[in-house]
Amino acid sequence: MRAYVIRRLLQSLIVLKAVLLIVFFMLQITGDPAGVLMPIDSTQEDLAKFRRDMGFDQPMHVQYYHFLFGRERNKGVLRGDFGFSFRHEVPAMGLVLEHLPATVQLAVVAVVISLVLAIPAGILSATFRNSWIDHVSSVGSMFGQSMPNFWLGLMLIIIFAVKLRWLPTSGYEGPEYIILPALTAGLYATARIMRVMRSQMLEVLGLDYVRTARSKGLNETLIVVRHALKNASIPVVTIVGIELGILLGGTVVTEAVFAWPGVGFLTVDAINNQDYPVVQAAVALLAFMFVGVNLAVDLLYAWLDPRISYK
Amino acid sequence: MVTEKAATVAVGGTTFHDVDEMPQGPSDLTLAIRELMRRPPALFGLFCCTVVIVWALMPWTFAPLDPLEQSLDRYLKPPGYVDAQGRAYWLGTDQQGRDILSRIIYGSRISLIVGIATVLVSGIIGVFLGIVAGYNGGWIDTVISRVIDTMLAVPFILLAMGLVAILGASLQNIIIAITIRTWIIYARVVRGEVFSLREQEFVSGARAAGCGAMRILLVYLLPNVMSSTIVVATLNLGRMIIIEASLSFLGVGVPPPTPTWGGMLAEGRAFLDTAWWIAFFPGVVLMLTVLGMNLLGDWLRDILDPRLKRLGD
Repeated sequence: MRAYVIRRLLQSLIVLKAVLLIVFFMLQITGDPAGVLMPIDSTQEDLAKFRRDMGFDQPMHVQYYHFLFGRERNKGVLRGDFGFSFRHEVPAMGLVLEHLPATVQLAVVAVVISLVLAIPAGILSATFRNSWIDHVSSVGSMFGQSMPNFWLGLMLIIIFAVKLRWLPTSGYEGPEYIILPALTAGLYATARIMRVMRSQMLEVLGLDYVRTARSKGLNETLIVVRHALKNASIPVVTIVGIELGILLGGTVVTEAVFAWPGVGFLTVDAINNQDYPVVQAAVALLAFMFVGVNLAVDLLYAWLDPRISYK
Repeated sequence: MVTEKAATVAVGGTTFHDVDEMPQGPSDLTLAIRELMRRPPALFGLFCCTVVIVWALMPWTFAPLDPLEQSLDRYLKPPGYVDAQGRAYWLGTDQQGRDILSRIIYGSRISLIVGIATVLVSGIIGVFLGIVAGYNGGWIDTVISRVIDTMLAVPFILLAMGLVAILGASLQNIIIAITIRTWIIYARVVRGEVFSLREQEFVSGARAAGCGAMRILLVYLLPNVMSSTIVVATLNLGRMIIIEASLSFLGVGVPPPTPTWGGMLAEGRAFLDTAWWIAFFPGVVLMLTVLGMNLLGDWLRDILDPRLKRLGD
């Protein structure tokens, strides 16, 4: 187990370093970062001065070293310094961190809503296989996986905010503001968790120990809740973790639809305004969180099912 | 020596003196079509996909009007509106008086081009890297696997948006931005398959017979990973179309006036309270297209590679 933990930690560190390399190259692929960062009407002298000031005239490996470890007043990304936001003129990482709680809140509520919808639906579909419950949930999950979530968001706004006037259209001022964005963001997670829950339950319900429990005369609810659910849940834990990781970095579209002030909303705005230090800081932070959540899920999984660490 | 012609074969109590005389079972294609006919969802999927493909190939035949023709007289007209010249706007008009139905039909082109191109390019890159990683193992596999892990960690939509914003919004750059991340899906599946294939006798036999690595990869391994690749590609086509629509929705898609489904949804956002049809209809068509591709993908998976069933989960 210890060897497995160390191996996973090392793998995560390598991935994090590679993420920083990608973030660094995001600007370099243009061939001329100064041309991208400076206003279109800048003179050649302005551009040359900007290149010198920012160190863009240095060889690539020197630039990468400065990017990581800092240069002059910049402390480098390894110490969380991604430079200043061009638009807001505050440290880019600080700005991203300010928007992080809204994203985390949205992702967590979305996962909770999907669990509340998907787990009972998955269990019922498996227990009453080929019944109308099973058919309805299967069709629902098929539609859920095919529906663009930003379209679902717009439709929820039309129904619940514009027509029925039950919920607000967008913003972030009270608990009722999170319901529509969380339903939208949790769409894929609900469909996916439901399918995994169903197939796992079907597998476990066919195993010998469940048959033994049935032959002892236990009632079906007790068999499902006490015996089957526990073992069927292990793969579901992984999926939930993966979905949470995806949601932390993937609520961008939902945030844009509902003007939810999270990291995604901030980054889309930064991309549209060419505020690249903010984009770099956001991509790095979201990637770090994804790696962190995945590491936690893998370790949790190995703890729940020790066979994993020996594979 | 017994030749094939002279051999006698007994099947179900009947003796055949010639292999050619034996009753032939249905071909794979016949079986696949029979399976398709038995599955109404797959037939529905085939119908949806066919409609969109035909639209994309010949939009001018099906679009009732010019998708770019503007007129402020027709500002936000509801579905079923008929103008003074008697022309019907079945799905209504948008804020510039353009016909929604015609724009949806023309918009299918961008969706399909991006979907098919990204699946093809990322499929080729992913399969190649997956085979190389799986067959060689060692440091090559470690490097490719870490690259896959890294690409997985980077938030996809933000990376694609950032790349398109930096490279410039064009069809080609959108395809590049999506492909940079999606090849990993194929590489992961193929790598896993090749890991188990490389231990099998036909591969060690080929190696013992003196085949070079390239020949083993292309002649022995590639055909064996093709069916799972095709299945993964079909199941991913819909996802690629949603990603293209998301990019257009966020404002980094193919620039206007070219109609795109995501772009139409973005335009409709400003009129949710007055003209719901602008955002409603393109979304329905987008959803049915993706649903159709997923249903067809499920059918293909079941006939080509039932072992992959869990991939759909």
